[in-house]
Amino acid sequence: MPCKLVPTPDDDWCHCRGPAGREVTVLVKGTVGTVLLKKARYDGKDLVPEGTAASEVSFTIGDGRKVFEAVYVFSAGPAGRGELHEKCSETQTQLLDANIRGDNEVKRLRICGTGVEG
Amino acid sequence: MCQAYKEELERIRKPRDAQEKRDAIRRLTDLDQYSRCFVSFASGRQAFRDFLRELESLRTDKQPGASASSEGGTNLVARGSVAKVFSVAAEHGALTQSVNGQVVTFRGNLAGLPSVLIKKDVFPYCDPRVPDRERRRHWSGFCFDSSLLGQLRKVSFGVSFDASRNAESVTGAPATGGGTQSGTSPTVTFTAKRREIAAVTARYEIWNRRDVISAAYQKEWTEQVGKSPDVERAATQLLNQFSALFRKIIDESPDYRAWRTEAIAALEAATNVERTWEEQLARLVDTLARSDPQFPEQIRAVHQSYLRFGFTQDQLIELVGNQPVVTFEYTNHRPLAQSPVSNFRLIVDLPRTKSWSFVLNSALTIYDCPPAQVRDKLSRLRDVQVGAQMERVLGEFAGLGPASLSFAGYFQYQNSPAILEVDPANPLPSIHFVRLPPEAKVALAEKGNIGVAQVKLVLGPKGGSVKFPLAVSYSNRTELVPKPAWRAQVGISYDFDSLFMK
Repeated sequence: MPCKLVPTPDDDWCHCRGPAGREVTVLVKGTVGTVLLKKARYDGKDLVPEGTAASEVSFTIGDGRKVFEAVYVFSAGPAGRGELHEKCSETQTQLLDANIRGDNEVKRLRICGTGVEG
Repeated sequence: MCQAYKEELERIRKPRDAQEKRDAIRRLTDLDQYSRCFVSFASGRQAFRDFLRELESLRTDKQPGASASSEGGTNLVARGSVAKVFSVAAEHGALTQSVNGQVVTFRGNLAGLPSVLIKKDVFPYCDPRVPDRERRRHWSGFCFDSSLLGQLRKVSFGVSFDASRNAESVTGAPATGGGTQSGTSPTVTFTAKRREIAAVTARYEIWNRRDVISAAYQKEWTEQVGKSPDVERAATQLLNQFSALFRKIIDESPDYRAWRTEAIAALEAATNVERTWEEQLARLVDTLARSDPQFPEQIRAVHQSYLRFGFTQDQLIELVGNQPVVTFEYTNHRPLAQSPVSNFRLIVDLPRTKSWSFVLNSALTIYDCPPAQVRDKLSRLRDVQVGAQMERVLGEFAGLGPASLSFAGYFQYQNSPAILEVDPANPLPSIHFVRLPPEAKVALAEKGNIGVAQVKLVLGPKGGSVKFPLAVSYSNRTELVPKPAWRAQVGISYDFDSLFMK
């Protein structure tokens, strides 16, 4: 299962691009302590059920620029660090954001859907 | 300037290559990367300082006062937590001693001063999260390592001074025999070593599992973080407010796009990147505030949500990571007109709940150097002590800060009697011994086990660093006088931690 998102570091407007209409799974990995998603939204839709915290969430890429925004929780508090990956297969992931920090608990990822796939 | 900004600015200032500088500038000027830093900058630092100061003042579990068994103290049972930087306490009243003293205690931690200097940017901190250790070294050639600070943090110290100004006196009982008080009782003297050191204390934290590393903690935290309604509420509020603000700034405001282009150019050409970045940030904040009158209020609201969320996270960590803390304390006591003694104490702080905390103490006291006249009549082991305290956090009252109520019990097995140093040349009034030869230099008090119960209320002003402990105790006897006694202890303490917390 190939990765669907393509990081675009030189693009001022989109952090990554991906085919609209395809479902992606993103997961957070703790590099210092455990890091989880307490709240996550894509295009305004909640992805983490209330009363839970998740290490991965899935959503369908929308057409145009949409925002994935998340509140992360860190077992190590402000010292916690983590990374956001796309889960490409059971064994393969792709780094989307290496800078998930316990002193910056909310982050947005601007994802640009590039044309609806059938 | 927040840490994430500092790290990116360092990469811009000393890049390994042109690409690293370019990437760092792009990340820095992308407000989605370090949104909390931007919010902190925009809302001003003062509010953050005030909040931290308030959080520190909410703590009721530190012991700023004298060690248990001193002649002027409000603590029947010693606690493991002391000030991170420095504290001072003045207390009046005695618990097991016969003489009410007035003692001023200074307490501090070895990591306190370095931590303050790091916070003030006098010394750099070797942040273990920054992967390139060499780059960190280049910041100034020397930096404080977190492991060194961790070791220093385990060691604390205290010095108590006898601040009594008025003469103290007690009426002593005969050291032996049960004779009645009559006849020519010589007046003997406690040599009151006023304004001298009454006790010196050193502490070492032997066991503290309040860490966030262990697998057991990680497992428990993972289970709890999802369920916590406080974290849920705070996270929802934060995401709602954050989302509305950043959508408006980044996705809808044309000012941000224009600003970013100019900021990138300015940073690429800058000789002083930190100043340039601050100027660029200030320019953006001014622009956004001009174009949207609601912007300052929205920034303040998001800032408060960040702080609230951070606080609930910290509370959860404190609750889940809470394990017994074992502290060893050595105190050299110099009680009024008595032989100096060394006290070895083991303090066990049991895991706290939201409202309750429990502390256990066990200790033994030995005579440093008993006077030659009585050396063969007593053992050097003076006493053995056990104590326990349970404390209930009462919350805030109207106009007052967090209050706590504690109940403590203490038992002292007196193996050897108290030794009184008699100075006939310098008598104090009202101290009478029966059947004591006039030439006596030393007297032994009547031996007896001591039991004490204490109720203590600690009050303080809201948001302040001052605490007022008020206590009442009942003992079956004191060290010199074999009669039951009701005593009162009062004090005032100031914890400098919240002052340094910036």
